[in-house]
Amino acid sequence: MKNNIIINIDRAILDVAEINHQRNFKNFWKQYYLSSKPLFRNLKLFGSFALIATVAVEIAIDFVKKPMPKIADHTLKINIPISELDVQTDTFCIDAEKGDTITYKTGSQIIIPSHCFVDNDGNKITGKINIQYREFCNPVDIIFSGIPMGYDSGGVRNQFESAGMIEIKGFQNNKSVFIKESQSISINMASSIEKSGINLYRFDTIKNNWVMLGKDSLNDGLAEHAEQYFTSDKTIAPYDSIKLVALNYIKRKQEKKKTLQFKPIAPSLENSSKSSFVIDFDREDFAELCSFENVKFEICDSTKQIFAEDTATVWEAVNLKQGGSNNYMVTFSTSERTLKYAVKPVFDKLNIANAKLIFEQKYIAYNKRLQVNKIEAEFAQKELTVKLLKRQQALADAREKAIKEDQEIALVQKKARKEALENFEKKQKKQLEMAAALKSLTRSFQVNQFGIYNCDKLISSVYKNYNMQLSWIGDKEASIIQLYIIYKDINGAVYCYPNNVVNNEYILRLNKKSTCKLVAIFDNKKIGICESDELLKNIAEKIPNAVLEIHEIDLKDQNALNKLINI
Amino acid sequence: MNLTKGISQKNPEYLLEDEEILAAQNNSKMFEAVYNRHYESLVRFIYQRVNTKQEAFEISSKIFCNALKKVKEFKFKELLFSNWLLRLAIKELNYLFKNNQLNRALNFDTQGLKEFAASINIKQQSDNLLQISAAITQLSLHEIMLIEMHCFEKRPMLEIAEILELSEQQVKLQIADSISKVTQFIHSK
Repeated sequence: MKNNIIINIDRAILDVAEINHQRNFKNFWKQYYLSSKPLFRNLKLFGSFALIATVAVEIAIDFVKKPMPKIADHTLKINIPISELDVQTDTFCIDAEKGDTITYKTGSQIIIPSHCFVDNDGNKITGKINIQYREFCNPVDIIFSGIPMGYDSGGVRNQFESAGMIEIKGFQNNKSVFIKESQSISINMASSIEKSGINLYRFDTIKNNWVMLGKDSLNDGLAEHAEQYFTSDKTIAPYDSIKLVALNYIKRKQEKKKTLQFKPIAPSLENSSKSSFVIDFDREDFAELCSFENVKFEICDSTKQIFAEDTATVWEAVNLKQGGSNNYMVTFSTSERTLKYAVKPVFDKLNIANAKLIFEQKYIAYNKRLQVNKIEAEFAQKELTVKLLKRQQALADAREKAIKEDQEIALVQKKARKEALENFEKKQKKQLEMAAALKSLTRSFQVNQFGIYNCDKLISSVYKNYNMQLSWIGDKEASIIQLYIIYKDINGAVYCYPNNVVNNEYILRLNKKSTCKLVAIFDNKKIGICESDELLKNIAEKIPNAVLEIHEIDLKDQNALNKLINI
Repeated sequence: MNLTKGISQKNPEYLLEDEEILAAQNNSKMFEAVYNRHYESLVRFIYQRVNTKQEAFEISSKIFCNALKKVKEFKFKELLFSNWLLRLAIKELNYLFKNNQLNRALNFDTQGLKEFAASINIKQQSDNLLQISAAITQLSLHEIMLIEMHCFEKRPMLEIAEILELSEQQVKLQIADSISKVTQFIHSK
């Protein structure tokens, strides 16, 4: 790790324009939506690693104990035994600039994004592209594709059990095209194998070995889910309601503040039937209270009385504040007790005229202040409302834009899907019906270069090596060019020859308990079969010999071939 | 649904951000505001730790993908969203570095190195600055991250603690330990 640290001093900082150029939520969203489960971050992978490690150790032990099947010099290369029986490739023509979703006859989907192809020099390609695609679903397809199902790892040759294999290629004017570095094609491969622990491998034609890429993602409703998403009309969460709440709160606060404005109370003539008192104070100490000199405070609550001891008390503090629209609250307090009265100011006949004059002056001033406050408050509120409305509008615009963009994407996707479906229905209706009846499961993965991809797991270590000599009746001149074992419970074809042969003995990897079949392909395009019963009987009786039954095949009759080879 | 539930009582800018996150938690299509708000800071954070711009942009996209997948798990009361995003970024970067899928890069400017040299009492000569860079490469990924965040990006200890899921005290001790390793390496040369 430490060797890989690169030091850059005073490197140019990233330009804001460059960052803004790359900031594209629309593209990000598309990538996010189209991407399946990440291959390398799945927790199950660790379990798979452990399983692979265990299998590898067991296989290694097994190989040490038993006579080691010599891994011949033959590398794992593609070796088509009978070219006429090779799986045919289907070609789909797509527009490189628009991208497309191809639906294969098995029900698999190939989702090709727009602008994802480049030529040999890395230049962007426009125009029509031919996508060649084929799938290898069963042992017959695997055998006649010639694609090796072995996997060399740590000097040990392992065998694959396949959950589905595909080959995808791209051409323009008979020249190979390549997938752009930052792009990838999503493949939802129809698969009938519902097994876990499947890894994704790509066949490296230079190294002639499989390269493990990680895990695929098994799902049975991706297409339905995508459809549901693009046609859904979910309402957007009304998160703007928060702002309205804030606006109401401010309004309420302002209204409350308004009512708390100090309003002068009109002086009244004293009522002799009600109790009233005069606050006596030292004029020298409390000059500011001189305005209260002629004021009498009449107690509003007629049930309350003034006691003699209260009038005699020297109060340490007197607090006068507005208690309602027409009265005041006066509080007398000492360190020991407090006395509260709701009062209103009253004057005797001599002073009432003067008091009224003062009141009128104060009332005019109060009204003026009130008016100014009202205008200021209205202005502030208007400003706030405008600001909030602007923000709401901006958010609504952004939301509308996002919805519009989503709708556009959905529309394009829908259109493309519709077109693809229409074409598909016209051209391959029969095949689709067959596929629909056959497959409902898909395995999803991303490919960032063309080639052969295989969803596989390694065959368990319960399979042991047995040495056998093979013979056949007739066709003595013919020789075996390839030999495979096919197991009933495994979708795969274990490649036995020419790799595993020592002193004319073929090393067969078998499990005594599982039904299997030996398939030999001769150089004269005939096929030799040894059925499970004979093979397992010979193993049980330790007879190191098996007889192959030779079959001549009609190269055009795929059904007969499937019947002969598949278990 | 009570949309105000969990909204932190912070300044108005955070309040707006919280609204955006809430909206994204309710509807992943609304992630755009969050994406736009944090894109630049995240790209810069990553670019500071990788070798090329392309790598920075690609990894940023990957991290936003992770963030979008996990946005519902984000809890307002626990930490700031920006710190949560950096936490995801660091995890992703460490994963890529450890699996040799990406080369770790140390991107320093001379001024930053000089300040760091001064803080550890090393003369600010060009040879010494190179030695400091080389010494930092000898640290573990975690220690490099601490030194970068504290000494070069000038992030407060509390923020670093929040991002790295450590206590402030642990961060202080670990930074001191990392700096002493750097000085030891320089003096040993």
